[in-house]
Amino acid sequence: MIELLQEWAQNPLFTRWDDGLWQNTLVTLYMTAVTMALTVLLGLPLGIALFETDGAKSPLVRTLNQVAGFIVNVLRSFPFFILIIALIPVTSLITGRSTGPNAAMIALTIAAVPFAARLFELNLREIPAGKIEAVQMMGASRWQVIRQVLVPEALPGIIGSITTTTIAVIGYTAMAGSVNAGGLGQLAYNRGYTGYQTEIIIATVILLVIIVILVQLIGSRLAGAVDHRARAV
Amino acid sequence: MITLDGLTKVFPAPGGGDPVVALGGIDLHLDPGRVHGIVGRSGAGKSTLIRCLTGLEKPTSGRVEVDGTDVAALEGAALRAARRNIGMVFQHANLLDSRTAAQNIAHPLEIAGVSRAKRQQRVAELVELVGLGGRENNYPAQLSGGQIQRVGIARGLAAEPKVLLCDEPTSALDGTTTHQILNLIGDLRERLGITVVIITHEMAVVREVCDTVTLLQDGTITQTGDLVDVAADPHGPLSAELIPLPPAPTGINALIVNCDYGNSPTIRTSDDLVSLAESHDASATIVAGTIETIGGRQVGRVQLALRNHSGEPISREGLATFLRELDDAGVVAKEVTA
Repeated sequence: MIELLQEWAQNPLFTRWDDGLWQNTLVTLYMTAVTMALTVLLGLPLGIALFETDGAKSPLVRTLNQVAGFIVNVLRSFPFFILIIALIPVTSLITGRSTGPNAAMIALTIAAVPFAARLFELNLREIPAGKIEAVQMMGASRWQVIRQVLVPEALPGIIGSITTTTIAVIGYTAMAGSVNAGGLGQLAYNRGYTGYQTEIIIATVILLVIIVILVQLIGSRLAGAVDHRARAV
Repeated sequence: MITLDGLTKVFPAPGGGDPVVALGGIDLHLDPGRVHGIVGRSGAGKSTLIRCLTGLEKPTSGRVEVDGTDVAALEGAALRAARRNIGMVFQHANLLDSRTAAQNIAHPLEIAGVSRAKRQQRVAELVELVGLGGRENNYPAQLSGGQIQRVGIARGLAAEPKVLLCDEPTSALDGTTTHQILNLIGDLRERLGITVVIITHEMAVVREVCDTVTLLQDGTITQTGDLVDVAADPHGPLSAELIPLPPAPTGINALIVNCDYGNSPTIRTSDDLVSLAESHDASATIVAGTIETIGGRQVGRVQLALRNHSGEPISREGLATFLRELDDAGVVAKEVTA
């Protein structure tokens, strides 16, 4: 047993940087971080727009809401593995390359934005209507309601949704190997599974579990810090 | 201060059936500087009335005039400006959980674009005014129901509105807290001269703090006027609700008569009733009743047990005479038959 572990520890993938375990960990974290930054930037306005235009009086706005809702549903029903391949023409148009982490991030963002937007929309729906109306009755404009009521009141939930989306994106990055993006998923598949190196599979799984636990921990802490609602103890 | 002119609101039926008439042509004038109560059961149209007053709902027809502007005709920025003239207080306060008490109170000022320094000064005044000293940096979750409603009232007053509109302000509070909040509202009217409209289903609220009362039933006004007059009018629908008669004790060997003497020029107190019976050689005992002093005048609804001197119920003839005399004196009296 100990001999096996000693033998595993000598795997050069653990010690070398280039295309080793640690570089690929960094690639996974990089793809996740950039994807999430873009997802919050695009998904939060989309979620707010879905919430605000639902049941609008103007037929044009209602139609826009339905079209946006339809696109969101279509994108959410794509298995990510299919989506990333289907998007190859789009990614090569934007990044000039159809492979690599940057190409993968386009697909990751396109998959994560609708997912996050729906979660954000649900977070906003949890705000009691009376609180929104109370601020409208103070003479607040729509923009003031968004800035001063919707976002701050839903913030604990929004942080929770960002955490959930981040963990889903970490899972998606494993499939980014199909466009040769690198990262822990590709390492585990190419070296661990195809190359019969069990220790690589075990190591990537342990690393991913640690990353996910850390993300969840940070997310819960942040959500708790901005949550001033009464809590059952 | 507030004038409603033929205010009508009709909602289309959800299933495509007959439309629902929430408000069926309301005419009402509310004077400035007084506390006005609007009462009615749920479904009477109270909520729709509030939503029309604040422009959250457009009336089907009619005018909603608040401080000289027709709220119903406004849109966009003009409507938002008009809303700042009306402070709102809600049943569950509707404070934002993400803001402290002080930040909630400052919110209407923030919306109106008041500078930070001026906001802080005004919030300090309001915290003092509603008796919240020391709790201004707490979040709503850290405050009691009564304190939350004090924050709600302070927030309603922040932008110095002409009208304070209170929607069931005490319905979620216990008896003692209700009393404190109503005292506060009455006190604010005295000190600020603000016009207060209280929408409620609780008659106790009306008795305690209102100057006028309006009864809303099925979207129309069935009675309106100064509280004293309405309470003293034994024929009106509100008097029985404002001065309810408790259930009478049973098993009394006597003729029982209900008397409502609110409006009588000669019978001013329950003692006068007893004396009248005694002048006819009968003895009268009050077995149940509610007696209130409203606007310095006693109004009451009592149940009298009438006996002759041998302790037996008085005769039918005696009763007829007594009832006739009461009627002449303007007392609404009715025999209670078991």
